[in-house]
Amino acid sequence: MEDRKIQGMGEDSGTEYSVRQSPASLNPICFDPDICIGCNRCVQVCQCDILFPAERKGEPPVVMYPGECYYCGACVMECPGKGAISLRHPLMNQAKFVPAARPKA
Amino acid sequence: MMEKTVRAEFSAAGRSFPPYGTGNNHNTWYAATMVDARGVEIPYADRDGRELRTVSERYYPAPGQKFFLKGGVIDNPKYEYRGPETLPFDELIRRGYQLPFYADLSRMPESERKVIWGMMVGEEAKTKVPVYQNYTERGFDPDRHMLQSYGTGWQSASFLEQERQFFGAPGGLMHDWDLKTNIDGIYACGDQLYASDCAGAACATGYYAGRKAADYAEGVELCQCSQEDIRAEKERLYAPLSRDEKSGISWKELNKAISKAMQNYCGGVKCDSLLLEGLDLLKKYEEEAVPVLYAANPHELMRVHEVMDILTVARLVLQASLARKSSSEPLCFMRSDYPETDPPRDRKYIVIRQEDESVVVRQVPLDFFGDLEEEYEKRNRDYMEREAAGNGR
Repeated sequence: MEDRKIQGMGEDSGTEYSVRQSPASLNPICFDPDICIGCNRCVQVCQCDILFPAERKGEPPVVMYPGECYYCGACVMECPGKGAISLRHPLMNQAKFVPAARPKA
Repeated sequence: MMEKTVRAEFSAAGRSFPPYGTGNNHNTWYAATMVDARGVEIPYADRDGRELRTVSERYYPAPGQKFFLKGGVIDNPKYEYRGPETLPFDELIRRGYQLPFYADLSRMPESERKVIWGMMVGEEAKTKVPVYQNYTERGFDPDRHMLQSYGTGWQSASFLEQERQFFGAPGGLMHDWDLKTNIDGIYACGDQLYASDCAGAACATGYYAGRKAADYAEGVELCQCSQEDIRAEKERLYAPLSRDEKSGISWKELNKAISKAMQNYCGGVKCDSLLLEGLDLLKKYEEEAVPVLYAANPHELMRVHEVMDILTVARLVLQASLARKSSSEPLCFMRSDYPETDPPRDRKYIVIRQEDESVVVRQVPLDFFGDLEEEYEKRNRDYMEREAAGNGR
């Protein structure tokens, strides 16, 4: 992905910065473009600041820094569109569950 | 500041499984039925070692005990407050229980299963999506499945001895009766404090520190800001934005280097020579890497400053570790060059602070705060009267 240019805010509004999607060996958050309305509430609520608004209005945000996801699920909870965002733990962090050893009491 | 690291127990990132997303029987999962690899149920016992026969008994105090507390400094609760718990790991191994262990909610009464999985895990903010929703989507059904534990207890991974974190009772920031630090106007609360752990302590000390800080703020006048100081501080903070990416160092590179340094030189077993090597390496990072840290945008700038903080804290941990010349079981602190464990001469807070460029060590008696009730009432009379009158802020 090419560098994206963003403007600073407030007294920093005259400054232009570059943002580049940081490659990671995992894919913590996926957007369903058919459900996502591009409201960017998830962008605002992300405590790790890893999401950026799409360049085109109405499209799903970009997961700019996937390696910094904290897996808190705040983006999913904030999302008004059920199923628009799915969170997936990396394979190595998926805890194992097995059929219970005995019938329940 | 006193050394505060323990072998990691709990994490939300890295190679850790999701917090409260592994088989365990603590906090939101209390008091889940635990079984071993053979499917044999692990007994619960009360504080007197009396093994409990029913699930219901796990939620009641022992005979003669008024109440029990869970959470907080759960590894070593006082007898007075100690609640029902599964037998110690060493005892389980002696009896032939085999790893891995599992949390098996299917054996519990339906109401208890629904409380743990549906209400506790399902409604807590940090587990609602990452555990309840995610695991349900993956097919986990607490009626039919049991969830694996990792390591020997309730940790969120099988952590290594050198994987340390700030957690639980040991160490912390030194403070006075107002929870004020040695920097005037700066207060501490929550897990920063010695013997303070989990949400209850964080809420109580946060409320207290906030109240004291507000009182302090009412009694002081704001000083005039120096425009020159503001300009210099902005320049310092924003400097990484104007550095060259090609010849510089990213926050990630320094972050990983500090992590590796701490694992190598300040792991489970410490000694003077290792700690000094660690300090030497971190000093090199401070002198050579920090001045060339770069950030392409405000997000990266935030990370740069986080890592610079981590570097400072890492040096504090090394210095604080050097200051204690003995080992300590309750402090999870092992020195190969000072193996004597908890000698009476070191039953005190060993506190370090920075003065100019040097480290100053002092010793503080364990009971420096005096009688808790008496001293609290002396320092909080106004608050107590307001609360009693129903006019609390």
